[in-house]
Amino acid sequence: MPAEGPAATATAVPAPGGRSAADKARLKRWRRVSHLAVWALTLTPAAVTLAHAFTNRLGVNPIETLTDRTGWWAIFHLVLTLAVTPLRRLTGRHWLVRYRRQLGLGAFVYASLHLGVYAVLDLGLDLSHLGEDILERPFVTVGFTAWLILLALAFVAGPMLATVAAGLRADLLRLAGEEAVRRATLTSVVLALLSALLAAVLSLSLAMGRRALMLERRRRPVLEFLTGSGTSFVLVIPPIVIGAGWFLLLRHFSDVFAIAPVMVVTVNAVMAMPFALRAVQPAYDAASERHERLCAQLGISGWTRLSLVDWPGLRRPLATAFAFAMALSLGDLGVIALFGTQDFQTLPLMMFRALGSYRGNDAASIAAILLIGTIIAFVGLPRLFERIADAAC
Amino acid sequence: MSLYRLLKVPEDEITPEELYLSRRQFMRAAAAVTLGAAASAALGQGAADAVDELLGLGETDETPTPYEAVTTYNNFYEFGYDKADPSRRSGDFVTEPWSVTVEGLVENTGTFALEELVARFEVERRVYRMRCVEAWSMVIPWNGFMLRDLITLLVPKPEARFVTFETVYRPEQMPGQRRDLLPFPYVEGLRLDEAMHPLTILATGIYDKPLTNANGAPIRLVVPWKYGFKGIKSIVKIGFVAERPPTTWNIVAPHEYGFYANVNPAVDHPRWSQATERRIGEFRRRDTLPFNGYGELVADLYEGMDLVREF
Repeated sequence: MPAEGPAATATAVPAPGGRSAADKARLKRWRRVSHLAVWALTLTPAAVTLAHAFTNRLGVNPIETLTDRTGWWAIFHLVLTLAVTPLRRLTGRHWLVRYRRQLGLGAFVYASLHLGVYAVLDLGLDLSHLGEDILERPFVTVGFTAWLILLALAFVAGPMLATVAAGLRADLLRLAGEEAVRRATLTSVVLALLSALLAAVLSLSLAMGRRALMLERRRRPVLEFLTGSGTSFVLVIPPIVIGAGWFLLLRHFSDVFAIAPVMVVTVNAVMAMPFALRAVQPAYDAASERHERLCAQLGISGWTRLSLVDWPGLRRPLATAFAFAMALSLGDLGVIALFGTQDFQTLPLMMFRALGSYRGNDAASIAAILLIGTIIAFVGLPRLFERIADAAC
Repeated sequence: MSLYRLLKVPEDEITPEELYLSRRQFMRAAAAVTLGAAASAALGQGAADAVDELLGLGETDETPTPYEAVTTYNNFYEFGYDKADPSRRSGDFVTEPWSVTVEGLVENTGTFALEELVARFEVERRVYRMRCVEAWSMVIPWNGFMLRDLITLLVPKPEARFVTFETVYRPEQMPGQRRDLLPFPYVEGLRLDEAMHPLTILATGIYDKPLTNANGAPIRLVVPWKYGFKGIKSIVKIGFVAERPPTTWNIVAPHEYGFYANVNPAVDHPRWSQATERRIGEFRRRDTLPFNGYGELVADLYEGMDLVREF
């Protein structure tokens, strides 16, 4: 980009007494044009390939050609992106860094196209084939991991890092030492643990119920719906609506604030059901499939069967369901917003209130605590479970 | 996109049906006399049926892959590693005159001029499925003769158990050889019983035309139940040995390419699944068949063998 030259000089050597407004405007226009130019270059191969596709010039095996080309351009952009920093150090041309993020996004675009062509056109969305490839073929594993990293960098890492950085800046330790924060943390964790436990038990019960219905061989569509895909129904209702419903119902009969913990725990558990059930149901079905006959023959049933026969296979999915529900509940602001009080509040509610009273720094710190807690719950808990279960065996 | 236009076989490239059928009937009768007579004496009608069936093998009702595709998309590392390289970069390759050297544990060793060699055999048309180890496939009408006929003529010695093949080494005409893409010359091998199987042919033509340089002119091996790389091209040497011979891809990557290289959907390549394949010209993948669909005829060659270990 030699055309950047004048702009770079302008950045490096500011005119005495600052830049004039006209200079600034020109520089701004320059940058916008140069970014557009880089985008145009980035997307040229895609445009050429598209043109080839429409004029039937992708060769005898078009899907292979598409896979190869998108993959090649993804690597090309990735290498360019990674080359920016060393190049900048070597040459001292610091304006290069302005294009790094853009090039990285280019790598992500081509990597996504590559994955899309492979999964949709080549494998015809055969997910079992795709899963097998990702797990068993080292090159596909590496490629898919690389794409996940790009995805994370593109969408998640930015805001997440911003949260943590803001939180750390705002004196996390001081806040963590405050009585109210400590209590809210404790409340959050206890509520989340309880609602996760409830979700795990509920999902296991539903899975068992559904299986029993299926084994009976008599069709009962309503019950099957309720225990299966019906649980997903809660996804379309915001928790605050459910919470509001309960609030309105209960306020005539009792002190709604006294039963607040119960409400928060149950509603959060129900909200987690669609995910929890998806983790537990297939594992339970598989275990049941394998053991049904033998258990019937040996007369093993009920709790004995669950704890001795099915448990090893269910341990991991149940832990996943638990972690899911816990992470979800930790971050929930739906029900607690109605039932919370000054004495009974969770971290999200506290953060919300901090934001409402213009204590932005405190809010950022609480968000950082929440984020860390959620990550621990989601990543650490299943491992902890595994450890405990292994030790118990 | 006119993928479907690619699928259509030009009318002038299909052998007229009457001519084709009559030749088949003649072949069948001839084979029944020579092969069947001895066999049916021992085994009765079953053997005669088997011969009939074997001769029917050249046929498949699947649509042949268009000539354009067959001759412009394949692997022939002697010309480069891109699949368009063989057709694009084989212009300098000279195939006339051509001779084939026969050596090793065989009575009739020597160097033979190709046209004299081919003149001794009945060249017939065989429409075979071709499954590349890279999980794509084609249906190709070859013209060739059974390798068994040549071997019978050469009279292997009793201790000969394997047949070896070698591709010509001409770096000045083959750009891929100049770049050392593989340890050239390319070598391949078959067990003697595999080489003697009626499905195994030496091809000299494709779509009733002479083999193109890209496809291995002037003479190449076709073993339809094995992955395509076993079908060594532009053969200059045929040998007979007692021990299992080295084969090029097996030397380069022994954990990826075995000596047998039988088409097997149950044994994956370490880098990709072999369970399905893309038939060139088709959009959806199709299931790969054991022994590329020729299992009924060749599976007994491998009875008692662990095909996962001997892949």
